[in-house]
Amino acid sequence: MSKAFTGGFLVLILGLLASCQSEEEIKRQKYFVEGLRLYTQHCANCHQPDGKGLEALYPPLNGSDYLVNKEKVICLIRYGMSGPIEVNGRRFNRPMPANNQLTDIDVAAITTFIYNKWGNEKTITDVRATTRVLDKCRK
Amino acid sequence: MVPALAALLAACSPKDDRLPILGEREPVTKTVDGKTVTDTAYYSIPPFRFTNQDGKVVSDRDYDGKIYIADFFFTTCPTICPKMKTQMKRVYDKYRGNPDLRILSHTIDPQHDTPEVLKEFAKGLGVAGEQWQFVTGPKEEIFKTGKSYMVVAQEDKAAPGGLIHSGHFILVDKDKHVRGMYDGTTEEGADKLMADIDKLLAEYHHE
Repeated sequence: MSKAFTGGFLVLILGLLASCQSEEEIKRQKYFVEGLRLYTQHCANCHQPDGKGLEALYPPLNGSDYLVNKEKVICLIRYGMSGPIEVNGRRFNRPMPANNQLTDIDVAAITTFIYNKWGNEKTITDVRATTRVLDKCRK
Repeated sequence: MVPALAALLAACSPKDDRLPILGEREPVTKTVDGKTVTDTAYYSIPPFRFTNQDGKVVSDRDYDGKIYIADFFFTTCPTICPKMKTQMKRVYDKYRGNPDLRILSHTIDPQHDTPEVLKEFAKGLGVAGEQWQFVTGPKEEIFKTGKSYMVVAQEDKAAPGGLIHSGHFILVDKDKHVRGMYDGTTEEGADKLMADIDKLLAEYHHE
């Protein structure tokens, strides 16, 4: 094999890999970056930039066993919640305000950010799935 | 020449480290030993009287001879208050148990933030004892006190939660002089406050 051929082959493979990855991966990164921006703006004041919450006032998202309730999480991002909950064995009882100004795609981006960052997910929670959940809990 | 210079240096150098005294000041003329001298009267925090998280009365007298940090918040505020409480908690953790330093957080939403609500909030934040007081009182008194600390605390229908208030931490010395104002919503602001608290504590330590 000539060097030129090997080189050309490598470029081709790399090009293929990049384009393979791109569609899905670029979409995921878009959701993630937008989710990070919205999280910083709407959530991080209480839940903190590192997602660890504040004492017994604001529960953690990072390392939180509450994330298994994904539909509840999607709903409470938009509609808020009140009454006591238990996170990692600790009781929290402060109301979370609703964020009615967030659109379905905003909620999808925030959910994607949270679950990719702290929930071991590698894929997006897309807007259609989010809308289906939000429709169920719409108040 | 040399003694004069030394005297000058001695007079200046300890002051270089001192924090400024903020607020309006005015000259006061008085008579000392038959001579007329002019002194400076510095602004100081006027008397106040509130109720704390244990339902007890807290007044300016409780802060005589104490360095303290004042701020304004309300427990249901979704915007800057959680950031301020995050940063104030760092300050509290650093000086926890220091008998010279206190924290005084005023709610600006007394209708909701009763002593019981404030107690619950303090407990949630991991605060116990008297070092960090959360106080409530008649709304007008709280807003007036806000002005006395040179910060804004008032109602505003357009704001989330219906109230606006400054995100400042105000550092007050043992004579109720305001010695610094800090952005309570950022880590940098709280770092600066802690550096200045150390300086202020040292002022009293040297005297």
